[in-house]
Amino acid sequence: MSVRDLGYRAYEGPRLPASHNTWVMIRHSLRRAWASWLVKLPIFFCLGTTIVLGIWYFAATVFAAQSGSGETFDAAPLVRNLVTAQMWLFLPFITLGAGAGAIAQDAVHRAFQFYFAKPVTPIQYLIGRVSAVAFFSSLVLLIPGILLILITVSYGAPTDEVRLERAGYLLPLLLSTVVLSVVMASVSVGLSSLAKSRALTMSSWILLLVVPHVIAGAISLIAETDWVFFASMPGLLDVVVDALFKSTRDPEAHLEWWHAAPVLAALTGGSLYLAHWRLTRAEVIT
Amino acid sequence: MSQDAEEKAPSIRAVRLSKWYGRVTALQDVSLHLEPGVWGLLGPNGSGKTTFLRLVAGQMRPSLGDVRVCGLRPFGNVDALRRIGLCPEADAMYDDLSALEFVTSMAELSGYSRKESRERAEAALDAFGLKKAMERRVGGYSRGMRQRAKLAQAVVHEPDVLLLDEPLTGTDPTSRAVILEQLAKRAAAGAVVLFSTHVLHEVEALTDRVLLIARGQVVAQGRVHEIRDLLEEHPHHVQVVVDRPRELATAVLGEPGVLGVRFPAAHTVEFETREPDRTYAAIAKKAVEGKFHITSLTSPDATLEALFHYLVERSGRMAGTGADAASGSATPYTGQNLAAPGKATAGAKTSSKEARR
Repeated sequence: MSVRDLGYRAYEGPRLPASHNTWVMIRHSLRRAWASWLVKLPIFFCLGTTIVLGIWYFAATVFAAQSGSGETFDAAPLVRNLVTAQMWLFLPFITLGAGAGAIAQDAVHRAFQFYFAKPVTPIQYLIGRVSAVAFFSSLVLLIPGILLILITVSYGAPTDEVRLERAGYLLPLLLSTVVLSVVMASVSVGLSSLAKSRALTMSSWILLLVVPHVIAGAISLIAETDWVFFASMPGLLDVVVDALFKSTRDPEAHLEWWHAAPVLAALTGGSLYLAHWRLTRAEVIT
Repeated sequence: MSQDAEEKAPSIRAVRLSKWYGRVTALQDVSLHLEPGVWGLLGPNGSGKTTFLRLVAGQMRPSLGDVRVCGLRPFGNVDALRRIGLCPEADAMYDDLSALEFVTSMAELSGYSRKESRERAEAALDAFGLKKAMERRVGGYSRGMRQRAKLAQAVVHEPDVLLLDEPLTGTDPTSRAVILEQLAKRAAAGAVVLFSTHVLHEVEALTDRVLLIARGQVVAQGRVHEIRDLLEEHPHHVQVVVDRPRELATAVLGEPGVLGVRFPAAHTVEFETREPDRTYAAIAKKAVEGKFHITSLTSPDATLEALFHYLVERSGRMAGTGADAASGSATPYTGQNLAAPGKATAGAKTSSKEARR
């Protein structure tokens, strides 16, 4: 007797390949992430920085026009500062709400048994979790950034050359967004695999973001060296973003993007490896 | 049926399956073959039930031995995993999702399109009596409803092999009835339904085909009464509440098979016997002849409970004495010597008895 004999609905259609589960996991993780207010609020308020910087830009442009100096306002630092502002104001909340507690929560509820009873690999699971955090992080960086660039292009640009130059900020904005989103999403999700306590992993994430940066800032003031920012993930990200926007830096600064980039790459790779190892060894998938 | 089709038919086959975590042995040398029907996996907490289910569900790689589901190794095997439905013991559902969203996600992970997944999820939830509540958040569900939602995700892709870890834990009578009905229906339709529990009456409600597992070893497999038949050394007890217990004891003690007698209460006599049928007949005969007034006649070990404790104790006694034959895995799997469904095995005793036959 087969399963169909007693009236079960036979499925005649094709089954999607197992690789399709990557997209399913991404969609599922996006829904999970969106459920958190720590994600919703930054998305709703992320345009606040654009409004503030936009007003400041209008005022500066009007002031420059009235003073009759004839100098063109340099909009690059404005967009660059927007990235930094978004990184400190909103990304911590998104990574906290969607990343830093993600695996810990699943571990507490032992939700892995549901996922891995299906044809889902730990890598697909991780891609889903990291992508969700990276997606929402990208939103709070990219949308306000694009709007600000549009403002600077459409208002106060005296020549087409200047407009084109300002439109060109889209590329560093895009690259900065990718770097910041991927690094912060990977590290926060990796950290969330270290313990089963969501409170512990989330507070560790905040400490990891803030404490080394504050200490490094204090030491750099006293010792007048920027090497200590090696210990600060936001500090390293700042260096890379500076390089992408070709920002003018302190001539005394020693830390360059080629110092920071390998460390950030190692941090990202290490976090993902750690999360994968924890999933496969410490949990059910062995 | 061709050999290929036979191998791919719904089944669970384990050959000398072992799993250990570091120095802790969770499962040891388990060999069995389960065909369609409902099977109860019975054992106390920590006996290896969940480990066995996870191995069969492809969530762990065996440390030693082999496990096949429908002829396929389940670990990392997409084809096998699509034929398995697992309902874990953990109450691991996201409270903010509705049951429909949750089960739809699980269906999608089984390879169906979004539309098909939603239809299947609705049908599965409907089958488990959650039609009206499927749009509600799981966080507001009762324990029984959550359990049914978990079961719905396990069957949403119509698996050939259904693995259920403590499926009736904490369920109310309504939920229990729905769950039992659905499991029986799927088993009757040709699926292998293996469910673990440490509550014996849950097994009896669904099936008399059981695997008894203790200390990581299968100590018996088969139907309850067949296992009992095989265990010759397992003494049966017949308890009689009667007006003159000592006189009845004197009358029955001389009957063949009666090993002993004791008086657990004022008007109660308990016989220990190797031949319960003859003893029952003798009690009835003596009751008529001696005009005894019998209030009740029961067997305290007629339930699975007694058998289970007996087998576990027996396994414990023989552990560490080189008598690993106490387990169901004493004889290596060869394809012939393993018990077919409904044919009980109980370790060394089985082998010796089969030999005598």
